[in-house]
Amino acid sequence: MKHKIQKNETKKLIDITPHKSLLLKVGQTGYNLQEAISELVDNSIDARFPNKKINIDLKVSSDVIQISDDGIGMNEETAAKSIRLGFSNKKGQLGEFGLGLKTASTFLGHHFTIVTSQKESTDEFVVTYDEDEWMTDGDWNKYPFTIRHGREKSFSGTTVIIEKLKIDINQNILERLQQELSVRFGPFIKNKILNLTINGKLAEAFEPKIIGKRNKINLKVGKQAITGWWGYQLRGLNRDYFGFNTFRRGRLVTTYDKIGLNPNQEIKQIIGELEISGVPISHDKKNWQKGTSSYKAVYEALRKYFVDKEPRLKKILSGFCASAGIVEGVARQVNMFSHGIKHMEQEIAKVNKGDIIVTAMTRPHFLLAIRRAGAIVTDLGGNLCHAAIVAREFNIPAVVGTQSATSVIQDGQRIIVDGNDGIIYEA
Amino acid sequence: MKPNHMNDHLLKFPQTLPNDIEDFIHFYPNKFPAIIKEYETLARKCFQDPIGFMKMGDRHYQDVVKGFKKLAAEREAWYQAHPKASDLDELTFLVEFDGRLNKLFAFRFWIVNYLFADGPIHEYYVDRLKQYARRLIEVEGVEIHDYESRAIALQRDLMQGEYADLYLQDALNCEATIALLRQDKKTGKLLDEIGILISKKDAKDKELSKKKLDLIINLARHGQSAMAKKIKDHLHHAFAQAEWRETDLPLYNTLTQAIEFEEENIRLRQRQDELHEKIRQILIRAKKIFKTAEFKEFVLCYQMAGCFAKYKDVMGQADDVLIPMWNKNIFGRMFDIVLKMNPDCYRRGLGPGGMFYFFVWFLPDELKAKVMTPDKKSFSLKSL
Repeated sequence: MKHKIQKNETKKLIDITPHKSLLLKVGQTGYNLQEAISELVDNSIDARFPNKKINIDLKVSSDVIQISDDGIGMNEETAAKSIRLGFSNKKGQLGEFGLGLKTASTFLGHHFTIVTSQKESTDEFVVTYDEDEWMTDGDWNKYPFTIRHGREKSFSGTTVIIEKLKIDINQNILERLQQELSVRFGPFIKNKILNLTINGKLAEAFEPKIIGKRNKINLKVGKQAITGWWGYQLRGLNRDYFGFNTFRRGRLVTTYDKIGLNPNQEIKQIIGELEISGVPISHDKKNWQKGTSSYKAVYEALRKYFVDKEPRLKKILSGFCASAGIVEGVARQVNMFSHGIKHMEQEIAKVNKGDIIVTAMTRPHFLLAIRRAGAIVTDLGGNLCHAAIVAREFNIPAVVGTQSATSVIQDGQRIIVDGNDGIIYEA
Repeated sequence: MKPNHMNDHLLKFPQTLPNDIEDFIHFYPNKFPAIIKEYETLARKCFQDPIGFMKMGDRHYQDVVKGFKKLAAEREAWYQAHPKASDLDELTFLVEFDGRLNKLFAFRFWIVNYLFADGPIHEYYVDRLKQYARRLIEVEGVEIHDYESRAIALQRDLMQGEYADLYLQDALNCEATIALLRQDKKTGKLLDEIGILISKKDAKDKELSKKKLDLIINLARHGQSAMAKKIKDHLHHAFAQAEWRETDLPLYNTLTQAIEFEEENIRLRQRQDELHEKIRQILIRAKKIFKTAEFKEFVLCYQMAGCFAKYKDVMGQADDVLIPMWNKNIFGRMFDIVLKMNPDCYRRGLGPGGMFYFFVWFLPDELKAKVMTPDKKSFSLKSL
């Protein structure tokens, strides 16, 4: 920052040591619980031994969040610098900004402790941060660091314990956390790189439900490359849960990213996983740097690729949304009113597992057919008609009271039943 | 809109019904004009009184049973008294008998099962219940992406309630049946063998599976052991169906379902067991969240929606006697006679309203007039 001194200027050196509140402020990044914990899991995954599965144990309660791994652990120098803002050994990788541990931990709690050790060492290193103590007595140049001696040599790993939590943990949030970590770290779990235990329960990799096959994608745009797969899913209750999980160097960057897609996708939506190289990411690792020319090039290439692959399906009918869920299947016209036992046997036999029953209304003695059905569509009925009740009981989608399903839908036709909105589409 | 200020039009006799496959809504108020006042009086009495509604439902069900017995006995007596009745005489009797059966059905079955359980009052309570369910989620501070799925799950639990209807009860009875059969090694092995046969599509396998199912049916039908008696009890609905349909097909279907969906039925049982506690917790949460008047209305909506669903089922039990009577003893004979008199007539499946939307077109004029002449008298079991 040299510049020539003019005659009417005086040059002085000023102190720009960060204000102590900076350590608090880095946590105010707009994280949510899942994102903050993902940062810590990311760090643990980075610290795995080469070619060895890492075990990460996450415990979340209303008082404490604790994350332990059996990775490489830190030596004295790295442990001592772990609290330092902007310090990172990970040049050219995710985590290169050296902020994740601090931002995540200070977002989650007022107090955190890092305990780490390496194999073949009897020393264990401890760094503790307490927001109140830091603000009253903290000194950027004299940060307390503890070395505990006499540790078991065979163990290595790092534990981060966060206390005096800043967020309320309830059952909903815990369920959401489990779901999102299953999505975020699904590729590591699937590839047997990671065993992630959340409150004693082993996390399973999230698998989206794809209709038909997975299509490979392999695009090159200048220095940028896009590889991965895509397919179609049926829309869920959250209409925004489609798009891509995007990865950079094997690490998840965004979930449900709409890059290259029309954001207004209807019942059949595009979903997939894309590994994108050559595009920089933001410092919080939560997004791509969208202003860059490399991102724009990738966006354009994907838009061109997907523009004629976004289906607009024809709506055939609508009715009461009697039971939630969306399924695709073969329509089977089942007449539950014509009498005669032979007829009943024939009608029941029409329905294979997953077929969609199309009928004027349901009758109890056709229960076997109903059990085999993937969904029910009726001409008649309201919210508490038998078809609606039975569909809710057996947890299959149902649209009732369409007035004309048995006239409009053909036997054997492939249709999609949207029990959330009460609409039938041509598949 | 609070229920005690429920708009008067919701309590009036409805103009249409969503589940009215046989168009009763257009026939009954003209054929039996007194039904309008009867329904509107009951609607005013019961619309916010779940216990009153249940009492009325039970009373009506009992009347259906008693009225049916009375009519069935009179039918028997008529045939005994007229062993050589002409076709026209028998047809005249059948038309008149059908009118009486329809009157019983309209005033006692249809009011509960259709006018209340599918009509505007039911619509009102279900909508309010759904709205309350959404509010219960809103104040919980659920993340935006979870909102819809949680709201729908809660609505589903509240609308299903703790009562297991006929369909679910059948599935739960299937679960209990299989659990009993699994206690015995021999029958357990038999279930596994049938399971394999059911999964195959071949007609031979189907026949073989029926033969093996016969072993279980015979055990339940004739067995004297405690297990056999319990199984017969669990399958009572299928046995009743088998009896009036004069075939074991309903038993094959029920047992096939029991074996094919063995695991799913265990999960259904668990879900049903958990639902009691779930509903209890929802009510506790609602009490904390809603104002006193709102909580009262929420509970009322839950109870009334539950009443409508339950009494559809209670009344549905009458199907086992009403439908065979109508199909076999009335319409079966009607077809035999009318087909001889009128070549334009053809056989088809009919429900209780078959006389006024089908047979009436093929009857002699004087009987047509009989079907379409209003019966203005109000209903009583005595004068039926």
